[in-house]
Amino acid sequence: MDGLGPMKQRPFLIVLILFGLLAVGFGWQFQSRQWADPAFAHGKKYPEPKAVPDVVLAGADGKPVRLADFSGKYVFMFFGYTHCPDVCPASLQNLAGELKAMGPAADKVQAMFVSVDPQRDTPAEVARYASYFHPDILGVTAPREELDRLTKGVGAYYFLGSDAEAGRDDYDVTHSMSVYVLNPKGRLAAVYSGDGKAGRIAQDFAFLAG
Amino acid sequence: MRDQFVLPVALLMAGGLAFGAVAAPDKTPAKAPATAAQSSLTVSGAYVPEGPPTAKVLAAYLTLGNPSARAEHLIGATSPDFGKVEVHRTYRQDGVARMSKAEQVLIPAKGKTAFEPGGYHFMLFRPQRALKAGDTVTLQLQFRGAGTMTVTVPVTKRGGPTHDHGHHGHH
Repeated sequence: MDGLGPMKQRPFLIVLILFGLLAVGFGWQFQSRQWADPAFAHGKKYPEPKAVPDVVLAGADGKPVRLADFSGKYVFMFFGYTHCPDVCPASLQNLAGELKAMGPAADKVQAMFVSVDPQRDTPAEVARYASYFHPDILGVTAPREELDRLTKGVGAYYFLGSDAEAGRDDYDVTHSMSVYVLNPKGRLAAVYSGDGKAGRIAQDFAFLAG
Repeated sequence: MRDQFVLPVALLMAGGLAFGAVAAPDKTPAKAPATAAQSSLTVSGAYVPEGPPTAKVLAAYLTLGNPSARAEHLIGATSPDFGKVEVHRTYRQDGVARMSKAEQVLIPAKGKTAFEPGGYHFMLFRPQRALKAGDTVTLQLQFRGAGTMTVTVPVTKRGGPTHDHGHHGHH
């Protein structure tokens, strides 16, 4: 009688294996659809680039900077704040690395560091901070409402630590660490997660336009 | 990069306590407190990446080793070169970076704890002077029951995109 036990379980096992294979199949299909373009290997590309509100930002000297001013160029956008010791400097260094890796193609790009902390970051400070990493990274900030419109528009996220509301100066800011790529029409074309190495956008760039 | 730079460790064993033990008018033989005498924490790979000259916050990274059989806890840090030092940890989840202050960090017995980009780091608030690569700063690390340790940390150049030179170069 003992030998019957495993025999009885066999059909169940087969069904389980079939389900397993099916699941793997679905997973593979999902994966292959997501990375349909093998040349575009690193970021998430929008099949239909997404409209982004034309916000007014504040550049160095408080000079207004409209997103629309950069139409005709790709915009690589990173959100952060200058009191950020760990993630932002590393990300900005990566962004600088992208520009260097692109060589002459970098002329088609405007890299941008958007501070989501205008309470502490003046436009001049953000501009100086960003240019330390690469002279072509434009540091900007904006009033809260404009920042909210922009971050919502591209799907980025941020919030200020509770100490900010308490009026203390040393608060942390939680923020997306992705790089958002707008195409020359000002539409969101791709997003790159912030935890990879520099050179990923540069590698994909030739295929972004296609 | 001077990441590999291993620093000599200056462990100022619970200064006050040790001194107290020696200076006590007590007739028993002077003996350093066991906790301090046994701790032999090591520091390696300490560096502060250079920041923009106007940066109001920098970060220090290092690895703490604990060859002893007893777990140690880092409970804080101070520095004469900065207005304030805090230990923070970066959490990355779903593409979002969040930081939170760490009240204490365990350095396991016979183990080590790395303070590295994207993880634990020393947040150095308000540099007392503009710092650039080649400068050094002093950190005093405080351990629960094991005194303080003074570490000299070099400021290093941010090393550009040093990795992955194997990229195809399209034109």
